[in-house]
Parts: sequence; structure tokens; C-alpha cells
Amino acid sequence: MAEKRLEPRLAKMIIHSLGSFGTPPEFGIEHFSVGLESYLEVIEKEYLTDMLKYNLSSFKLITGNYGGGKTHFLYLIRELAWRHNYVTSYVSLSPTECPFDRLELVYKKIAANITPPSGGDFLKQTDRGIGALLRERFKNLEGTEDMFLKRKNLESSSFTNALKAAYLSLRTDDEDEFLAIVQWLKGEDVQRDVRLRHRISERIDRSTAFRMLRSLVQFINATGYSGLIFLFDEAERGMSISSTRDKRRALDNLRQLVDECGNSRLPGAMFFYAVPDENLLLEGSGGVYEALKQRLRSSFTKINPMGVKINLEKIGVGAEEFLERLGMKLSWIFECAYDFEFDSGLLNGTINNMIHTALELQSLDISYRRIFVVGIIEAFQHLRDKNKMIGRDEAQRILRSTIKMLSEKEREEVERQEF
Amino acid sequence: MKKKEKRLKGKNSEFVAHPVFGEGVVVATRWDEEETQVKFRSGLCLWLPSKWLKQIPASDINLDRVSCKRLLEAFRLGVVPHQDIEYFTFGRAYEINEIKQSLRGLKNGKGDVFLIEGSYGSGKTHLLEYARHLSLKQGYVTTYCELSTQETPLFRPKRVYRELIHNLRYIRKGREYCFRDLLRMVSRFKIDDHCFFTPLLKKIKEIDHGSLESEVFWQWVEGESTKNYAVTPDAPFRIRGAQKIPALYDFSTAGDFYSYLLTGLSFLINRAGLGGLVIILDEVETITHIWNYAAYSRGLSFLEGLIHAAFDTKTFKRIDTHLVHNQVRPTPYLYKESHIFLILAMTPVQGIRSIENVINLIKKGFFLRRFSKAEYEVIFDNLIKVYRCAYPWFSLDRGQRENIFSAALHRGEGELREFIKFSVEAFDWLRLKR
Repeated sequence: MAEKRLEPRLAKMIIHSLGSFGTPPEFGIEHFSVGLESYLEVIEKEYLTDMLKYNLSSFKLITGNYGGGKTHFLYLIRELAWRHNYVTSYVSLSPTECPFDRLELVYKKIAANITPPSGGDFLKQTDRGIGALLRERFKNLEGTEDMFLKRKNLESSSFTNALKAAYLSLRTDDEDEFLAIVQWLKGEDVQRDVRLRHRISERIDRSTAFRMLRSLVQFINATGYSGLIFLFDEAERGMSISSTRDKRRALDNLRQLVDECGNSRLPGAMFFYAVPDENLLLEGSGGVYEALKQRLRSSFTKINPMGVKINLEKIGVGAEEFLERLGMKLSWIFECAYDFEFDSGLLNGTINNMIHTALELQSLDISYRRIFVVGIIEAFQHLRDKNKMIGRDEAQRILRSTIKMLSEKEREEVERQEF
Repeated sequence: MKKKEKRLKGKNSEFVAHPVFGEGVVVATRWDEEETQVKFRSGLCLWLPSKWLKQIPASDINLDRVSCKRLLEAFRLGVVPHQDIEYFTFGRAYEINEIKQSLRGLKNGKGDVFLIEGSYGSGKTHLLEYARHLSLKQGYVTTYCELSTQETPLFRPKRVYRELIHNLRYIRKGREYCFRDLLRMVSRFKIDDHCFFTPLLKKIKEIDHGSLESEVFWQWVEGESTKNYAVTPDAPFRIRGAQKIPALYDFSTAGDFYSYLLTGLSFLINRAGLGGLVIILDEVETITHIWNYAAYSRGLSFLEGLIHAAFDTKTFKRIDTHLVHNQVRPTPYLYKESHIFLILAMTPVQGIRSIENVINLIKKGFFLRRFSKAEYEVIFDNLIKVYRCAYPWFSLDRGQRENIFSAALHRGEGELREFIKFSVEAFDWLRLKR
């Protein structure tokens, strides 16, 4: 392959991450993405470099079943957003830690996972959270503090006061004070005297969470970043064990979020909300279900990247072609990781056998893509060790054990989270 | 002599209004257009002298590119942004006319209540946004609150009050003003008998508007909680001499107090020559999403109080145990003459007697009807205009235009939201396809 070789450390990280459970690595995913170009191109051209820069906002629902590439897609968007100077917040929703019906907990996670753009070196992207963002931003404000201190256009006075206090404490090197204020901005309780000193009158709770979210977006938009990209993942678990009332509350929050985007009340913000099956999310009857269904419904059946719904199962590439392109990309990463080259004849035959077996064995719960990804890494290891093509029987053995392993992991995860 | 009739094709149709029959679509003309056949929204199809009809012009879209992109993105999400509402409101001339009449009544000091009902996607919020735009444009003090079970439920009147105060706006001489400007302006009036505004207006005249204390004071007046730093005697931002002003209670039973505040505010607005206060409440049906019966009935009391406030019902000017009252400082629901035009929007609620009784108090209102094919044609043409403004290189041939229109009409099944959504998505697909 004429392409420039990948750094072995990154290539190994990708192979280990994919080979263990098929979960995408945090970085480097663009090297093995297949078929998502039409969506990504539109998101970049129409939203990141166009609409959001005019202080508009948007919402997309991402659908794709377990292992169908939702996390992968969100990570790709994240890297794209960083390239265009957007702050991102990737939030993995869970029923216990941050269910969507409790927006104050979602806010906490958002604040904790806020990540400013790294300037290109994604492997060094370790500083997260609103504290890191404030340090990064206020560092560049020297000489313009008056302009910042006079800023009054954030929706919440408490949020404005907290930001001003954080700024002043950084300017006076008062680290303890800064950390105390950041604690409040992260949605945690702080001592009363801290709030008294800085006229912070509100708590970040379920009644104020939306206001704080809007204030956060307004702040980021006003301080030189292009905007804020929200990436909500594994949303199915956030909804799965909710009582009817909690689910309705969660859906109402989602509906309000869509409306706020439609009214551009979240300048420069874009939300991606990933679910395995929209029917699971929206099954039910009554006002809030109907209101949300109407907003999230995409009546156009062809691939439409501008639509509110992005279906990762429909990317315009057939399953066989998809796996073939994916297999070739992964083999190249594998070669970069271990600094060797596959025999092309043996490689093509192995990939071909793995594709057909994966499609034969695909189970209902787990996407054939995830089964294939985990299995093919094992097949590459065999090919590298024995320099012998993987036949259909061997492919079946590898993929059967892969399915078993993934099913057990899925069950463990569900039990750990839900009981 | 054979009458000469000129039948009009759908896409060339005009919208007209008649003083008795309301709004309708022109079907045909005869006798050199002396008479016109009109199909009215009531279903009547009549030949009428043309001079009796007033033509309703479809708004001409003249927006910039960013506004068009904002509109289109909102359409993809199934909503309409309030910033551009005036340019994208069709076929609601009858309803808008009714709202205009009530606004005129408010100028003469007469309050009113309007209820807009309609199924999801029928355009309630759209019409509310239009009403808000209209009210502001005509110089009324206007505010709105989208009720929700979390942020602003009716059984937490302080939150609704805070939202109403936060969203309160009015326009004078081409400049927009907010709540603080309003209070500063009305502080020149002397009222002796309002338990909140009498001491408040006195205090506003005294405070130093540039100080930090005054900012805390305003936060408090606007319904933000300041109890953590402004209540105790040694609090650093305590407002001296403000003890005579009653607290803004956060109880679910304080509906009487907030209704009293809003009517007091409307009284002051009227004295200032600004007509009255227009209050718009959306998603009123969320009141029925409250599972706790006590909370539900308290919310209902607040709503009923507001309706009576807008009607200026005499019995609500004295304390009456018919509705819930707070136990700290019970006030009547109304202060003197109120000048409130209350506009409510909700999806129809059936089978919940207590709310039906409250809704039945409202005499004016309408159920949003579905649009006719001719109206959809006008909407579709305007959609294309907006789309071309946002994406100037976009083009549609006649066949594509007709196919998309028919498919959108079929897919939407008469629902405006679906119709618009499908059309915009189809344009997107055509534009982006390779």
C-alpha cells in the first residue's frame, strides 16, 4: 500500500482495542472508517464550517444497533470538530450515573468531559473538564479582562458570576478559590461562603440544568471557540430501565433540546444523540412521544445526511463490500503495528472467508460489523504466526467464539448497570 | 346570456377574507371579475361581489442567507424559529385577525383570554410565536413561558413568574426594553395599596443602580434566589431598607400572590400608556403530566387565577377560598383593574374534568384546522424561495417540483410539520446527491 505508514504505537492501540471487544479506540479511527464519508462530509461542510459558525444550532439522532458503529461515528465527529476549533463533550449515558431524565446529572457529565481542541495532537488530548477549559481560555485573555468582566449576556447570573470569580482567582493565583468555583461549575455542591462571596445564588439541579447548559454554550461561543459539540452515546441504556414517568421526563428533555436547537437558543452548539433503535426510544403513546416522534422522524427513506436522523445501517454500501474495505484497512493497520507485510493472496482469501462466515453467523443482537472486527484481528494473528490462509472451518470457529465472548460481555455490562 | 366564468388553477389561487364568512380561497370569477366564487374555511362555497372581499397577500419572503439557513434547519427539526416567524406564517389570517382584535381591546384597557388548540404538528407554537411577534411590534409589553414539567410547571408559580419576567420585552421608538427598564419607568407612579409594588417602586427610586447591591436586588426582584447571600443581617449584599417588600414565595400554594403581582404589573403598564401585558403560555397540556394530585390542583388554581385575572373577574379582587391561597401573605388573585391578554396553547385534553372546567371558562379560541391544497401550494413555493436563498445554486425542474409536492402532500397526510419536513429533506437529497 502506497499510503504513509501509521505510527506503530497508534496502530497497536487500535489493534488491541478492536481485537479485545471490538470497541473503537479513542483516537485513530479515521484510519479504518468505511462508508461514512457522505455523512462526515456534510457534517463538516454544512454544519461545522457553515451553519454553526453563524451561531445556529442543530440536533442529529444517530441510529445503529449494538456494534453498528455509533461510538466510532461519534469519535470521528469529535476529531472533525476539534480540527475546526470546537470544544467537545462526549458523554456516555447510563441509567445509574446519568440518565437523561435527570438533566442535572447529564450536565455534570458534560462539564466533566468538556475537551478543548488540542491543536492537532489528539494523542495528547488528556486535559478534560470545565476547569481545564477555563485555564486554557483565560490564559489568552490577558489585557482584555475588562471586556470579559463586563460580559453580562449569559442567561444565568450565577453562571456569569462564577465565571468572573474563576477568572479573577486565576489572575490572582488563588488556586483554592479557583478549584472551589470550578466545583460549582461542575454541578457539585460547594461551601456556602464560596457562594456568598461570589453571589452565586443557584444550585445546578433539575430545574436549572437547562439554563446552565444554555449559559455554558453561550460562554463557549462568546470566548473564541467555534462552538460546542455534544456527543451522547449509549443512550439506549439511559432509557432502558426507566419507569414510565422517568422515560417521559427524559423524552421531554430531549424534545426541549430539539426545540432549543431549532430556535438557535444554543449558539454554535450541535447535539448528536446515539441510540441503537429509535423505536425503543419512542415506543409509547401520548403527548411527549408524539411530539418527539414528529421532530425526529425522517420521512425520507434515501440516505439524507442533512436529515435529523442518521441511520448507520444505511450508508449506501453493501455488507460484503463494507467488510471487504474494512478488512483491507485493518490489515494495513495490523502491518503498521507489527512492521511486516501479509502475503496478498493469503490475506485476500482469509478476508473473503471471514466475510462470508460473519454474514452467515450474524446474530440479531450484535452487529455483523463488530463480530467481523474482533474476529478478523484474531485471524490476522493466526495468519502472521502460521502464514497460512484461514479457511471456512477455521473462520467459523473464530467467529463462533467471538460471538460467545461478545454476548457474555454484553450480558455482564447490562447486569452491572441495571441490577 | 351565457355567463362567462374563469376557473382558477390551484397554484394561482388567491386568499381572501370576508367580514362575515372569514377566510377563504378564490375558486373562480365571473362578469369581468365583478363576482368571485370563494371556498371558505367553514366549507361554504359562495359567489360574492368581489368588492366585499379583501385580498390577503401571501408574505413575500425576503430574508438573508443566514436567516434562511436557520429556517431550514429548524424545519428539518420540525419547528419554526421565532426570529423569522413573520415571513413564514400562512393561512391563519382568521386566527390572526381575532388576536389582533383582542390586542386592540387591550389598548382600550380590556383584557382577554384566547385558547389555541390543535394536535401535534398543527402549528400552535408557530401561531404563538407569531402572536408574540405581532404584540411586540404593536408596542405591547409581551412575555411568554413554555410550560414544562421540570423547569416551569404551573404548580411552581415562582418559576413561571421568573420565566415570564426573564422573557418580558417591549419596543418603544425602535428600541427593545426589558423588565428592569419597565420598572424604572413606572417607578414614577405612586400606588399606595399594592403590598409588593408600593414598597418596591419606592425602593427602586432610592437604590444606586450602578452598585453591586442593586444587581443583587434586581436578581431578587426577578425571581432569582438570593437567600444565600442577601437575607441574614450580616449578609454582604443585603439591601438595606428592603424588609418591607414581601418575599417572592417559592410555595406551590403561592399562585394567588403571583397572579396578584402580574395583575399589579399590568395595571402599572396600562398607566404608563403601554396598553397592557400580553402573557403567552405554551404547552399548557403539560399540567396533566403531573402525577401528584395536590401539585396538579395547585397548578390548576394558578391557571384559573390567571384566566380570571385576564377577564378582570370582580370576585377575584377579594380573598376567596374558592382557589388555593398561600398561608404567609394571602392576597386576592387580582389587583384593581387588570390589563392582561392571556394566550394559551395546548393539545386537546379529554376526560380530565377539572381541567376541562377551567378551559370552559375561555370563550374565545379555535382549533387549528388543516390547510387546503391551494394553501400548501403557497407554502411550497415559499419553501423553494427560502431554499434558493440559502443555497443559490439549487434548482428544480417542473417535474421534480411536482413530484416532491405530491409526495410531501401524501406523506404529510395534511400535517403541516410533516409536509415541510419532507419537502426540505427532498430538496436536501436533490442538492447533495451525486
